[in-house]
Amino acid sequence: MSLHHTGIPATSVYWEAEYGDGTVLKEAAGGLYRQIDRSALKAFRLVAPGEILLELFVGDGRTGHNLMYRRRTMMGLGSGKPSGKSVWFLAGWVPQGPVFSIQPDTMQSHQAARLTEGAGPLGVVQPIPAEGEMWTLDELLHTSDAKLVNETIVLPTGMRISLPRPPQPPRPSAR
Amino acid sequence: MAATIIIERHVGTATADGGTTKTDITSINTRASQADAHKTTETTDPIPIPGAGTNYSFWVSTRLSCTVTPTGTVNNVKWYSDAASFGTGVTVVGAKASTGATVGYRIAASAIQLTTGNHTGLDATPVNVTTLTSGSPLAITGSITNPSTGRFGDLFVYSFEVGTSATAGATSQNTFTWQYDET
Repeated sequence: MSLHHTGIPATSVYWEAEYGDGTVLKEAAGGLYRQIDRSALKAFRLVAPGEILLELFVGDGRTGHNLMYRRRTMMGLGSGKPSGKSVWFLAGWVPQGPVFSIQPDTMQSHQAARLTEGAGPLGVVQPIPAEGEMWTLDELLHTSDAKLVNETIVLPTGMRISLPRPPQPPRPSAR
Repeated sequence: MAATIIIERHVGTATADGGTTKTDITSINTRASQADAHKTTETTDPIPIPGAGTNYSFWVSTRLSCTVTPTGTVNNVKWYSDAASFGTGVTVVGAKASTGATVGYRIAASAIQLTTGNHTGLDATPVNVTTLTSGSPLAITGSITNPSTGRFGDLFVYSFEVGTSATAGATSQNTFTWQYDET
């Protein structure tokens, strides 16, 4: 993992997913996060023209299935204090960690072992369907510190995954 | 390309799409007063300091709108304040609103207390917004996925409560934050 130190606008930051065969899926070329082949992932990068801001590699027990990425926007309302938009890029490994966040225009960055409760640069994320398939229930409950609470899996990172409700039996038809 | 998301203030009578007038208030000031209108600096229609009891602003209803669709999904919407005081005798309470035929939007006939009894679209009893912080934000239900655009998620509705100990003039200006994630 490496961090670069030059401030750049958030609008010029994109991700790249590099696979084991050397091919690269690029957001800037139309690649979608949900399209990432997690089973073939070798590295994930946040890039700007000519620069690598953050680079993550699979290994040490982390696979592509553990990848988490978000573009987080905070919009302030109120002119009395600093407001406006600030954009943070979050990336890391869930549930093992670590996780990182970068605000590219100021090059502020944070690193932590886990996402934290609440909002802010390292606040918890909400899984998208592609990530909901990352872990089986058994893996979640037996290979991590996840807990099952009211039909919701609560990961040690604070991430919550609601379990689908079983289909309801059809109602008997009225006669 | 990243989504374009704006914060809108809804005013006017209730419709199926919120208030009849929606104003983009992203990154600007919007005043709460005793008028159902968005104002940035005007001090008309102030909330009188009561001789007894409490006076209220008109309810301020805000919601996100997506004008450029995300490449993936926008979700994990949060709302929080900077936790700063509005001054002696002034409290701001708020809650999210999602219930009702008008997507949780229901304008007050006058500047009355924001309660679940008066605003039937509220999801919960309003709380002092200074308790909603970046460490303990309010989760706003709702998301939007490519190729959709338009208004999404719950509204956040708030109201100023002015007591007898308040001092005349504009309150301190505080910052409210909407946060969302995008893939």
